Parts: sequence; structure tokens; C-alpha cells
Amino acid sequence: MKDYMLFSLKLVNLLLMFSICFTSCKKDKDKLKGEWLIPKSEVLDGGPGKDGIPALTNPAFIAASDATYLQDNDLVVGFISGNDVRAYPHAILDWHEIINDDVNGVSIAVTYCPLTGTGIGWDRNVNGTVTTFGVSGLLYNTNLIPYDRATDSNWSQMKLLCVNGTLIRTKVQVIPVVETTWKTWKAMYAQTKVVSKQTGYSRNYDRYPYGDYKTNNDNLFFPLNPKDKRLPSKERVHGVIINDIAKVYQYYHFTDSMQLINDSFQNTDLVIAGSQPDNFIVSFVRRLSNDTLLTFTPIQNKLPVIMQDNEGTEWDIFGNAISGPRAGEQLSATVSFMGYWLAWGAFYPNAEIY
Amino acid sequence: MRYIILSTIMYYFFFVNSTYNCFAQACCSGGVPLAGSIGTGTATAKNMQVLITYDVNLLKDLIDTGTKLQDENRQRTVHSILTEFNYGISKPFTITALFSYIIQQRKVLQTNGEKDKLLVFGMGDMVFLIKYNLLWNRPNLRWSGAVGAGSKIPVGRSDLTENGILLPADLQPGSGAWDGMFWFYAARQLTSTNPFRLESMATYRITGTNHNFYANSSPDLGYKFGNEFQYVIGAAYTITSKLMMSDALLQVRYRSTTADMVGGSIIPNTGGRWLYLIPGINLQTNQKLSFRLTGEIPVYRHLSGTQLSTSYKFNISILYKGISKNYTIHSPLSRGARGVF
Repeated sequence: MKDYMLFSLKLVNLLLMFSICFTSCKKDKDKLKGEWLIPKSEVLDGGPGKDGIPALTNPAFIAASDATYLQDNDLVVGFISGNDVRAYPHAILDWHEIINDDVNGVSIAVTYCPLTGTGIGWDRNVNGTVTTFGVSGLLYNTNLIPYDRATDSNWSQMKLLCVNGTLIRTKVQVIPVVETTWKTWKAMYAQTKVVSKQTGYSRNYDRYPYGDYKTNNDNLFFPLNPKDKRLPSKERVHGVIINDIAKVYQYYHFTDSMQLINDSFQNTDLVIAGSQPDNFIVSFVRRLSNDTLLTFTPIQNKLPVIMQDNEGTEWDIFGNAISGPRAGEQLSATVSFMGYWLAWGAFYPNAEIY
Repeated sequence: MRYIILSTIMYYFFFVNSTYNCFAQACCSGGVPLAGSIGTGTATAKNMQVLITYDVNLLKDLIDTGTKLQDENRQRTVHSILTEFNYGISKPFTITALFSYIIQQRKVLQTNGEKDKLLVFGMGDMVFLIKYNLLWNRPNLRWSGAVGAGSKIPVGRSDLTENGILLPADLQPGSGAWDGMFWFYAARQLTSTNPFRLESMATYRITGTNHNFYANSSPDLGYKFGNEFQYVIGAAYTITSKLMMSDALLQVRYRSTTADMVGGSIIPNTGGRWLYLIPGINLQTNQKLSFRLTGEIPVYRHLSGTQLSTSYKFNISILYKGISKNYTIHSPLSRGARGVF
């Protein structure tokens, strides 16, 4: 019997030594090496791997009347270039996170992170090169890290910055988009096209893939640092970023009618416009390039027109002057987007809350 | 009858051992393949058995609840080397120690046609069990049964990084948590001369929480894999020839897991129910050495959300029976040939 025991002990010993010596992981190419502008120890592998969540490029679009898969209350990210009006539904973005598109000469990537609720338009023309973005499979502060396919650099969605790779420190050029409900969007822009469910990928677009994540304030899949508890974690806010500092406006502060907030932040005069029933918040710079400071009043029930200035010009939801003395002009857009408070609190510590 | 009981146990030891399974995960199923590996039998007093199994689990089916999606862009392969020791400390009691070494590969087909590959390898967790042979003093029954309890011990690493970036929990070789393990086994020989045997086995694993998984950034976000229940039932038909004994095997395995949790919250797209069909064959060349080959095919899946799931599995095992002097080993593979060493 001793022989067997001795044999077994030797085998166990061998196994343990082997195991301890050979515990590691390897990737084909060490693309993640090099400098990171965010704490690398807080960057996490989300699980699916690079392109495991497949971004879409130039997907098929259908007319609004054919989009039977969308409910009125479903959120969409809307974009307009000239006469081309497009909607990118969360129902699609939840599964693909990035849609690379060309709209009337504009190369846009609609980047959307389901875990932070942030949908942002990115200019795909980076330093003169038009690229497409893919999903790296990495997360920082539970937020999407896209990579660009031209240089394989990694970008932080909410920092709007390339954080690793040859384009490191390059800033994202944000393209203004509007997040609202499908009902509001198609009411404003009946001619809109919307991303088809025929994406080339087999997914169940009728199902939200993250359970009760959107509404359960206690539900968090990945760490946050810091964790700011001043607001409920899943509260939707509109954040404005100026000089890398953020100020957020709570969605529920907007009432049953079109409402404006004339505000100042970081020495910048802002107008924040929102409506709960129509489910959107947008913001613009109130001071024009010629130093004229406009004062706005809301316009009810005339979407996409949302406000009128003190000179009599009417402005729409994208900041375009529709009628009046400044017709044809456009307000400067803020760098801003909707998102869950949890992410704003983590990415922009001590963010100001209106 | 003692012969039959012990034979059946031995058979089962050989038969079920590596029906390991994988943890579900939000995006993939891979992970620590131990829970289903407690199918080992009991050893007679003062006997030692060593079983080495190489198991391959290919996961490339993307399943939405019960529907297979037409998507094969992602693939996970889990190679497991399982080494198990069973030692009979007395007539009714056996202690079992199972060690694992895990090699996982994740492949994703990128839009440029290249594959993004990640290879993870390392020592997995181990299982320690004490088993009790319920009918050890009733050797003449055609029934046999045993129960066991123990723990999965987190000796494998669960903090592996790739270029400094922490890998997801289901890609780690270890789970980082102590789990409670419960095991039950029952078998019946139809008649003393009938070559058919029926067997069943159940395991239940109550998982612990790895509080260190996100310790660097969020110590409050402990990771817990879902609890797991498995039930295996099957039949074997023994064929005896002059050269060797062989068994044709066919069994089904039902497995269910609850969802994984992080920070006390359910992780969507984890957990579900599976049913597998397992054909296989045992070959015994002599009293000390046996070989086995089994495959595993999913026949029913009802998963929470969308998950990458097993397409097929196969494993090869070698059983070495270190049989002490003065003891007799009865094996279903040596029916009618009492081996006294």
C-alpha cells in the first residue's frame, strides 16, 4: 500500500509544480501594451472578446412605417444630415454597441454603451483618415472602450479620448445626436429611416439583453471608481462637458411641457431644453460667435421646434434656426449626452448637479 | 453481489467521472469544469485508484433561450486535464481528491477576417469529498448506492490578467470561492447474469462568493457563480471477449444552474437548463488499466437570455487501479474474472 501512496503523492506533487509553473495567459498580439491614459488596473475584459459584440457598418435602413419591431416608447438615437434623417434604436445598439454609418457625406459612428446608457455620435474622420470603430470587449468604469480599425487604438467612450495606441491623446470629435423615443422622433421626422433588424447578425432584437439593469439601482456588473451616490445610479441625466468638467441635468426635473434652463457653467452660457413627455434633453451655447447673448423661451407642441429667442428666431431640437431673423444659423452644440448617473459620477468626479 | 455492487461503482467511477460542465457567463460559457466531475465511485478499503481524464469542450453554439442563432463568430474551447485519486479509508468510507488543469482558448472572428485569440491556462480548483457506501454491509444486493459531501477548494488562480487587464471570471482557471459539494449515486444490476446495468448520479453544488475578484477597485462586488444541480441516468451493456472486456454506454445528463451574481445582483444571460446525450465505450485491457472514450451532445437547452453553449464534448480517460495485496477488486469490466493481486 505504501507504494501506491508514494506514487500518488509524487503525482500530486508533480501536478502542483506543473500547475504553479504554467499558469498564465497569452494573446496572439500584444496590442494592449503601451501607455494607457486611464488606470490599466481598472480596465476589464468584459467577456465576449474583441469584436465579440459585432459593430455594424453601413447597415440596412427601412422606412419608419416598416419598423414594426419598435414600440413608441423605445429609445432611439437620431441624426440628421441635410435631408437624410436616421434613427439608431437602442434595441439594435444594445446588441451591437457601435454603428458605423455614412449619412449624406458625414462619416459617423453612433457609439452606445448599454451599461452606462450613453449614446454619442463620433466623427469617423480621425486626423484626416476615415476609419470605422469596433467593440474592443474592454470596459473602463463599466463603459464601452471602442477601438478604431485604422490603427487599432483604444478609445474611452465617455472620456471622448483615445487612451491607448498610436492615436493616444487624440480627442473625439463629437457629432450632435438626439436621444428620444421612437414616437417623438418619427413624429418630428416622418421621413426618417431606421436601422433594419436585418443586420446580417442573428440576434433577438425584441429582447433587452440585460434584465432589469436599466431600472434596478443596485444592479451593477462591473466596478466603478469612484462610486458617487448623490443620485440613484440609474437615473438618466444629461451631462455637459466643458474643460473636462461635467454638469448634469436630471431628466425628471423636466416637466410635462417643454421646459428650458438658462444656465452658466465654466463661464459658458448654456440653454438646456427638455421635455418629459417627449423624452429628450438637449443643450446649446447661448452666446453667439459675435458675443450676442440670446435668451430663450420654450415653444410648446411644435416639435421639432423647441424655443424662441429674444430676437424672434425659432430654433429646433438640433439648434437650427428655422424661422425669424437668424433663420439658417445654428447654435453651437455643447459636448453633451444622456447617460446613467453612475457613469457620470465615475468619469467626472464631483460633477456639478443642477 | 458484492462483486456487482463494487463493479458497478467502479464502472460508474469510470463512466461518469468527466461529465464536467461549464459555468454559464453573460457572454460565454466556459470556466471551471469541476462540478460534474464528482462522478467517481468508491474504493474498497486500503485501495487507491487514479484516473486521468482529458476532456475537450467546444462551445460555439450561440443560444437565445432555446433557439440556436445563426452565428459562429465566437468560439470557446476548454481543455481539461483532471486527475482524481480515490482512497478507501475503510469499508464504507472513501476519500476523493480531484485536481484540475485548465486550458481555455477564446477565438473571435473579427471583421477584418482575422481571429482574435486568447489562451489561458493554469491549475484549476480541486475537489475534496468523503463518500459513504450506503450498502457496504449488504454485499449481496443488486442495488448499490453511495452518498458524499465535501468542498471545492479554490486553489486555482482567479486573478489572471492579460497585459495587466483582468480577465472575466469564467476565463479564470479557478473560481476563487469555496463551494459545498453533495453527491449521490445509485445503481442496479438487472440480474446477476444480465449484461445490462442501470445507474444514476446526482450532484449539487452550492457556490461561494469570490470577494477578491474585483478587490482592486470594488471589494464589495464579489462574484458568485450559479448553484448547480446535475442528474445523470444511463445504461451500460457489457460485452466480454477473450481479448478484453468492453462496455457500450448510453446516458443522459440533466444540468441546471442558477444565474451568476455580482455584488448580490443577478447577471443576465447566465444560468439555464441543459440535457445532453452521452454515448461512450469502456475498454479494459487488464486488471489494472482501463480506457474510456465518451462524447456528449446537447439535445435540449433552455438558457437565460443569450449564451455561448456547448456544441459537443469528448473525453478520453485512463484508469489505473493500484490494487493492494490481499484485496479483491471487482469491476464491471472484469465480470466473471475475479482478480486477486
